[in-house]
Amino acid sequence: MLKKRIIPSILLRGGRVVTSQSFKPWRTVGSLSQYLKLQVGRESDELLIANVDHSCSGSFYTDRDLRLIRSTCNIPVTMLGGVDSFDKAEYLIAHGADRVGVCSALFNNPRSLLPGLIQRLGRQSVVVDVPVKSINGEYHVWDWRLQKPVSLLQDYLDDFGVDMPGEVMLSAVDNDGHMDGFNIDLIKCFSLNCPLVLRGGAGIEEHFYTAFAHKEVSALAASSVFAFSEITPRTLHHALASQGIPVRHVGPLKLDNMLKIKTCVEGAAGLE
Amino acid sequence: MTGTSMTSADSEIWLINHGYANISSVRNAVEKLGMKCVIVSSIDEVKAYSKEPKGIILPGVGAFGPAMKSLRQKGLDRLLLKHIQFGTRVMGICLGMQMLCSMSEEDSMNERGLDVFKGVITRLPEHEASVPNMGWHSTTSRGQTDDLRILLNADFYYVHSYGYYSPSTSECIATFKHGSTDGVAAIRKGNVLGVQFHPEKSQAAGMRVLESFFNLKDL
Repeated sequence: MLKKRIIPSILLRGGRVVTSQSFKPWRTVGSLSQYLKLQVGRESDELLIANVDHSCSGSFYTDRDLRLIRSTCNIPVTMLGGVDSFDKAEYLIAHGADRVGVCSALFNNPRSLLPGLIQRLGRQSVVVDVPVKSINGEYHVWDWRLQKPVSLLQDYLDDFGVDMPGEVMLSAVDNDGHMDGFNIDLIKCFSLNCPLVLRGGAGIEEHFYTAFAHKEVSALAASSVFAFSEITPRTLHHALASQGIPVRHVGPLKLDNMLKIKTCVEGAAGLE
Repeated sequence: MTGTSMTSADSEIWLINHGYANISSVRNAVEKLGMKCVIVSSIDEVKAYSKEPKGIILPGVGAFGPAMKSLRQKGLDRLLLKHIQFGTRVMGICLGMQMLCSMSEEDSMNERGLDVFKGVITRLPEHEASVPNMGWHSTTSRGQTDDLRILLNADFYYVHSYGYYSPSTSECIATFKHGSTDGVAAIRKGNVLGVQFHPEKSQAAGMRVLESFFNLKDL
């Protein structure tokens, strides 16, 4: 049977891995090479790598980033950030991405890029990331660069029409980095015929269990929990399996101690 | 393009590059296992090459027709069939496994497969589970117990929209479930193995299958 996936998300800014809270500020937690080894070694089911630089300074993945990702990852990788054309998407696929994620390039018109991407890369290689924020009790798609809503979440998802991506990721802006749980409420807004990934808010094992208990949720993406707690994808696999959640069988827990690499939190406060 | 220079090597794996595959991740996996990897993009590249490979991998991502057409244009179909007959271990991965079968419903462009396995690749049934079939699946081996079959009882990463749905064939050595339908996860005939999953993306479980197949004592 198809297993539920645990996806560490790695936010990349200036060649460093950062974590965020409500999509800001950025706190540096390590280097890309160190972080890739850590999360791959701890048996993540796949990785989400988000290049935050693009939104801040317009820069794309560097050759070095791509080389590191290619040589380290023996699991599927989704690359997000800066994909606003077919060429960039194809470039990432040719240089190590198994899937590309699109986000703000669809804000103005979801139908502009999506059908072409699906046609050229195949549906399975396209992930749509949708940042969601609650405003006056309604869910809106949120453009964090402009700090304003794009449209109602429901309208936005309806606009996909027949062009279904491989999966849709709902990223809860309000929950991001707070480690107090996924926004389970978003599940009821989702009725598309493709797998759903929830992102933002994981802090303890229970949060994963609660979200995975909903059959609609195919995968959970998280960042801070893997940077600031003892929880690893491997410990999560064991904990979830013991609760009857269908997850991948992974190696014994003692491996985590052998592979333990100290996560370095850089800077006095780490906050910019 | 070559992974390493074409000098003699004790354990060299040829990686068939027909243009429709994620070569780099397969190459990484082979090299991590301590085997040398030579990327072969046409039959001419290996004509003057006296060294026989330890094994050949036929990877594949994309549509059946264009990939088969490209394989034939580069003469790589002849190379593969020659080596299969000769007894070289050949592993087809994902679309590569499908290319080892007789034919496919997917964008076939009237191209037939390599016909090593007598079967037709069909679209995955959509009524019970989503297509493309993407993610980690538990995989179950079948038939008599041997080293390879033991390793196939594990979770592997799959991504595909078409598959081989005749698991009753005696050549099928492992299956996965797509909804309630059994699909072929691994199929083997002597020195030829086809796997629908991606061993190069399946961490330790996948590496063990790669390593085991190319190091099996008897075929």
